[in-house]
Amino acid sequence: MSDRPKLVDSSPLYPLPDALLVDSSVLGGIGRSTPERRQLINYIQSNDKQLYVSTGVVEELDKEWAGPYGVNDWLDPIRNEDWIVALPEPDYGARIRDEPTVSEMVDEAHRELAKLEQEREDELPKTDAKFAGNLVQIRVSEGHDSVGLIIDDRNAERALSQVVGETEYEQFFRILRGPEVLEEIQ
Amino acid sequence: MVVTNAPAADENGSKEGTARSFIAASEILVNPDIARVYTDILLNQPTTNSSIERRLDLAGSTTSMRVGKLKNLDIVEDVSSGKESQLRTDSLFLPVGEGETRILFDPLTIAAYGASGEVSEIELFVDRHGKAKLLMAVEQTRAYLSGEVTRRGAADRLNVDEIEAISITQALEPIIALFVKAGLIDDSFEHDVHDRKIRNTPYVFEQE
Repeated sequence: MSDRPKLVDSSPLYPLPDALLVDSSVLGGIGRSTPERRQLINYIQSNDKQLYVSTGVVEELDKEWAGPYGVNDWLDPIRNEDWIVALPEPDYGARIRDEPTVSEMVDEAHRELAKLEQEREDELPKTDAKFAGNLVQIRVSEGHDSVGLIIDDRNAERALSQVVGETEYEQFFRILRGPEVLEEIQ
Repeated sequence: MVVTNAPAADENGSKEGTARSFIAASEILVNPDIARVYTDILLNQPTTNSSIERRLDLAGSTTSMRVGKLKNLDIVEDVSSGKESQLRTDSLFLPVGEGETRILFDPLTIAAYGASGEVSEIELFVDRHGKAKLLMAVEQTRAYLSGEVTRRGAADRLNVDEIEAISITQALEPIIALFVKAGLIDDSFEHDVHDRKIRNTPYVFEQE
């Protein structure tokens, strides 16, 4: 057995937060014109949810080899529809009360992820680490009481859960597993 | 050196047997359709032509042709003389190189190649990066399931776009999970693989 921290239990699915930050690991696996895609859109629109994507996710989906609308055509609804929107660059100094700022959350997640992957911390934070800041960003600037991150990466999930769990943000943020969410809403 | 787990006396210590296994592994690795049938037999042996047809959704003539090819390569054999042939095979291991650059083509690698004609994410990855990179992706997917790397971390190690590493590790993890379930690899991974993904593999493991 490893000396890594014990695996976190997944968050209870229901009720899903009204604001959902969704990762490429979830969107990238949902093809164009699939029942899965229709179910997701239907669930979001019928239940007054709002999907958000970070700038990092938009950049990942926007690949020349994937065509003008990006991987699985996700850039089209992100640019043109209101049930899924791209977040702007965050205000890195934003925070709630005296909790860590967006910047501090990203740095802490970056440290945790670098430790997991045994990599140097002086690399730039990846999209995963920035999610910790995006959660604060959505809470502060978009006005949602609770925010969920839907991700299909158990190792990133573990690191992010640990970072969030060490702050009072724990009561506002939930890290949700992509396959479990998709299974439940179908 | 090529090693199979076959106990056949004429192969152990025989240069010809080693050459035969090398040729079989090479043929299987360049032909995804043959690799997929080989993998199905390995997962479900002993098995029959009609069972392969059903599991892989192939025409009878196609199945016969591919099984015939594997028999010609001496990697699949009939083990009964009953009404319908019972087919069995051995796990092929093909280590290449030494030291830090040593790699191992194993049944899991063959299964990944075999899926490249069926799973669009694997097909796209092979088209863009070649078959050699797919072997590396199998390694990184095992590392992901072992809790050692994130999917985006795998992108760095594979030197591919983040979305490609995410996609290929997602496509390969259910195949690895199926191999664990079938007892073909004994990795004790930290993470389980959601049933939703296992249902979408191009392989079926029918437990007895």
